[in-house]
Amino acid sequence: MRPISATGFALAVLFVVPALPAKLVWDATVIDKRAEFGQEEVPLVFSFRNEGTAPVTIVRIDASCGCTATSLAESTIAPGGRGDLEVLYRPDGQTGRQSKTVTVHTSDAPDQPVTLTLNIDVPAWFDIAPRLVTWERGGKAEAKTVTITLHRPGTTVTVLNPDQERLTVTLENGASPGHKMLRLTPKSTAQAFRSIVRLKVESEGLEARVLAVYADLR
Amino acid sequence: MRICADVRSALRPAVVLLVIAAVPALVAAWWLPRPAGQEGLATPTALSVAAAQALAARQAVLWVDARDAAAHAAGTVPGAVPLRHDAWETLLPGFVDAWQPGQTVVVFCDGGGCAAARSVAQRLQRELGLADVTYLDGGWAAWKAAP
Repeated sequence: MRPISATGFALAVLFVVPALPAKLVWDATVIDKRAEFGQEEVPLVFSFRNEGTAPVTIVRIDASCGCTATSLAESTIAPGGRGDLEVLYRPDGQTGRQSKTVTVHTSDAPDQPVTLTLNIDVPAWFDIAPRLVTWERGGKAEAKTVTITLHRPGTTVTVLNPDQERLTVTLENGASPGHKMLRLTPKSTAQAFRSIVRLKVESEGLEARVLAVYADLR
Repeated sequence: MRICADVRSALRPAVVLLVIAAVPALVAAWWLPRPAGQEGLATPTALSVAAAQALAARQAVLWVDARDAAAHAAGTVPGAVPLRHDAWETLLPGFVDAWQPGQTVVVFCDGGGCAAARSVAQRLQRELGLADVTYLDGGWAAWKAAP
């Protein structure tokens, strides 16, 4: 019998190792997606197939945050079978680029869980900041400005309770069409108070949002 | 003299292109709104448990628990107020009540791999305009393990 050469051994490793009895292969382990304005749930699907010769079981799925829910129709995939891991991401008010991960533990590689990454760009349809303004008791009763930025064309903002006992409230246009400025001025700084100014932001096709701006004199 | 003329003729198209490019850039800069309240705010930094405890011994610290309601109810840092993304508007008044000017806010979540603390810290900076916001490195697990 001829001894196996180094090249032959390398080729054997190359071709035999991938032909393990079970192997789950993912179509993509990273998904990039841009959410719509105001989208409260962003669904994504990670598809996979079993390219091995034995069934594979998905034994555990861990999400990096509570904002991500996963569902799987079948946890055991037959050889040659396909499946989808459905992931539902809830921004819950987070905006900008969000990167979350889901870790999948499978029976074919118990020590090598697969990390799936969701990169979701969540556009803010408006920004209001700061939502907390403060003055010192006995200090100067100067106006504080809250900047309102309306990113989605056609978005409007109104003050629901402009008549405040301790505060003068005005909503002004800013330097550009998407800018508004909420100016808050205490009528007196002699006594501590907390006023809550409620803003309603509306845009066609989206559920209106009512947000509080806190004005504190401490 | 000849070299100067060559340089001038070579630069002319570049200057023309720059002027042409500047027009839409200036229009976009005027039209597109900038994110509100983010001017001058640094990215929240991580604080070790030892550093956070030392800070709390020197000055007032407001602990913010970014974990879920069940975890918060089961045990938390003394005085910590709950605040998380999925109940932001409901919990924000409690945070505003507890916060005092000059306080350092330290946000924590479950453990080292928990990104919620950092994102809650960023949101506090962005939405409330608070400058002094950090998050606990290692989270609640590190806090419990600390001497």
